[in-house]
Amino acid sequence: MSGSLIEIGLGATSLSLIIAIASMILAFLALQRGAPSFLHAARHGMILIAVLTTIACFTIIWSFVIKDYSVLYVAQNSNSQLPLLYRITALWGAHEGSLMLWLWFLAMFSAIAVYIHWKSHPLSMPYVIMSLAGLQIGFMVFILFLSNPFIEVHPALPDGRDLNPLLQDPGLAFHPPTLYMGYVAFSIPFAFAIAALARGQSGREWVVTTRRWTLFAWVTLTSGILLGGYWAYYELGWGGYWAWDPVENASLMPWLTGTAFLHSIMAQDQRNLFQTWNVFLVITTFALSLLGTFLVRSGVLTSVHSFAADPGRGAYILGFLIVVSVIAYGLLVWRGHRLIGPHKVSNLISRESALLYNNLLFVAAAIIVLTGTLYPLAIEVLTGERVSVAAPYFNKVMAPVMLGIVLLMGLGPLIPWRKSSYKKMQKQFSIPLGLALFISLVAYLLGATDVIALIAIGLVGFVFAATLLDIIGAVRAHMKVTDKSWFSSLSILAGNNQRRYGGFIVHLGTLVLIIGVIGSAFFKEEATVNMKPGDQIVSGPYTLSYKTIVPQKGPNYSERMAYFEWKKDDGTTGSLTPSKRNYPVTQTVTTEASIHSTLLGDLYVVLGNEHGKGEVTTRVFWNPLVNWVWIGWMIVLFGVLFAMTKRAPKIVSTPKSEPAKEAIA
Amino acid sequence: MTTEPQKIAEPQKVIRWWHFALIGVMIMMFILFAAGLGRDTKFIPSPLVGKPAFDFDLKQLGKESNIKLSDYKGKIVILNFWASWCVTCREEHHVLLEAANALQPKGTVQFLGVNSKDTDKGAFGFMDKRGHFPYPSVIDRQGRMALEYGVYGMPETFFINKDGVIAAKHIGALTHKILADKLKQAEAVQ
Repeated sequence: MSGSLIEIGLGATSLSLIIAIASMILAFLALQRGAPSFLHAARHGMILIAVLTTIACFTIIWSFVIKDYSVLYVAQNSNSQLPLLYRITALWGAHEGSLMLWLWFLAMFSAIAVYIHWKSHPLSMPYVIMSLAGLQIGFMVFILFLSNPFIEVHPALPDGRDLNPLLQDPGLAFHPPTLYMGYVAFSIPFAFAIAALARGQSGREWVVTTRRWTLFAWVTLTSGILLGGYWAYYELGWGGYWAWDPVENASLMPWLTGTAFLHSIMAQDQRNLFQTWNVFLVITTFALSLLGTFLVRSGVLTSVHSFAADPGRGAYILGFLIVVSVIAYGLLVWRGHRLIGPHKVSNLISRESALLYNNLLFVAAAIIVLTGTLYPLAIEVLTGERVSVAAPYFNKVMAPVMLGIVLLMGLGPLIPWRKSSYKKMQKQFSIPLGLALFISLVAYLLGATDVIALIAIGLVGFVFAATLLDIIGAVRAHMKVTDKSWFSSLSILAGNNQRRYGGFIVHLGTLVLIIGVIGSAFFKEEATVNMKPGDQIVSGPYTLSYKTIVPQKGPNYSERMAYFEWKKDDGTTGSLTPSKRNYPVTQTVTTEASIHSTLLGDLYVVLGNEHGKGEVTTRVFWNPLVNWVWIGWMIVLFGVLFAMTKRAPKIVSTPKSEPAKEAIA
Repeated sequence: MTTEPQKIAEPQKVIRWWHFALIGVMIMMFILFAAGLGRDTKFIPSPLVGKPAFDFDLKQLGKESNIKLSDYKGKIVILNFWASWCVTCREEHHVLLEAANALQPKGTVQFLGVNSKDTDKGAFGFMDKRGHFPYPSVIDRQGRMALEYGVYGMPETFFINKDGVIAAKHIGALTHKILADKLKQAEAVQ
């Protein structure tokens, strides 16, 4: 009976493919013949696909829930002892299901975008539908012919092989889908950019329309990356959250260009600048999302993320990536000149030039990461030698770029559009600058010696002070005029300028996050020691003593759990119990870190090998301020949500480009 | 490129430097990826291959005498790291027994075991149950030898040529095919 259920999923996906092809053709015909009825049909197609892929995903999840081991994917990625939550999240536990999830997000976002932008963008709609349907077709063909999650085995297997134990963690349960959601959400701005290119329409329409999509994509991508870091830190026992692994880099690249895009669309919105550049950025961001998928799934790079690699699938994704890039960049080269507007950046000290530098730095950062990630591949293809580019390269080269970006984060939002002057800047920034120097000096006197760390600390102080002073200034001015309390002034100001104040909140959250990064990157202590019961080790403000190690039994694993006691300088005490788990079904061993977490930092213990008589290799970390990373992330999340409460102004697309609303500068 | 306040005339199409840059970068990347597909990224070459093997002088398992690697100069030495607690070692055990019985009588190949991070009791328990090696093993109680040879995980096997140079190595369980291939490499390097 359940066998037929998964067949419904297969049928729904196959039908989706046919409908996607039909929608694409219909949208094309609508354009050719100017027949709105064709476009209506294409729209229904997009919505129908969303429904069908939802059904398809549901059939897989349901097969997991009812433990139907006649479905190969279910048998490979779950087990009868697996808890229900992980049976559901097992959908994206391996390649086939991950792609299904990708497709589902794409179908949902496409349907939503087509539905809500239908009335306001009749002229872009055929192109938008064609682009989105094209992307859907690419994924559907891949799923149906090369990585089919609906395959059945008869007779059914007695029990499954179990989910990769590393994935049996709430952190992982939500890391991949969040990341995919971020990747996929960029497809909507991408589709509108393609429409703008195809129509040669240079106005601000498409960026304004897709602003919320961009914010949503950005914040989900950010969260996906940070969830991955959180998971690596808590579940994988890395002792850190970021290791410059190729797969991590693959997710960072679209984030960098996406962040650049998020900023530069303001220039197009406000001043009608950077039109071609914005299209380039959004195409690049989406292409890098696909590249990320390619790098992860094809196995061309050596990574700690040991996904099952398959060159055949790799070849398909590469082909798909080439098709998408050739069409998108080809359109840009062919028609990009139509987008160029009459304005340009006229002053060095202006918001637009700050945005320009912001963009240059973000793109430079993306190029650095791309080069570092692909360099080993290039060397191996050319010379056959194996090299690896590791954290030291990235840290060294990225640090100055990142410092530049932080500096601009303080300057940019406070410099007015069009023009400012050195005098004004002096007035605005002398107090923050003095504060920055003071903070750096204090840090130096307290024992920080690393130049990069000192500059970073100073910059964080600078941006904090500059941003807060600006807000205080605005609130004061408002209070003077309206005679209201500071709180209601602030609420009114923020409520009327969601985008500006949302941006401020995001920037402040980013600063908190950076404080966490500075603390945990420059001031961490790390030791790997063999400990016998009774041994002690000092880490940060803690003294850790090892007591004993004992066997334990879990629902689908057995483990060896060590017992440690810690004592802090101030006399507080507590215990830590790191363990090594053995999952018999998959024959995998995982290490469970044990962490004493405070705002000041984490004491982090992971077990290595045992050497008999209770002696065990132990890795002990003192990670100062690492929690600030997660707190900063929450603030960023809130800031973006706040900025998103601002509705996009209603702009109806017109046959020709927008009449220039602003006088020519 | 300041244009006139536009009358929405079709702007001039100009070919720009970035067109070429963009197309060039794309083509290069795609060629790189295509060339990179299908490689075995799990294969990691050892920096020790081509280097003289570390000469040791260690106590023989179950005997009082010592064994030196240089005792076997002039023969190809197949040096196998094993331990009783190593699950994969069980998988390759029969391969080692059969190959050693077939190859050693010729007199040009010598097998040698390194019982690493193990106890005598464990090692003999393992051999009693699964068959004794037709060749000696040396004792590496602390795993120092494993460190010298950069052993990453057990089992690992080194193929040392007649001049005492490491010609090849294999990580994981041996099969007859792998063993024959690697042995050929050791015979080829003179």
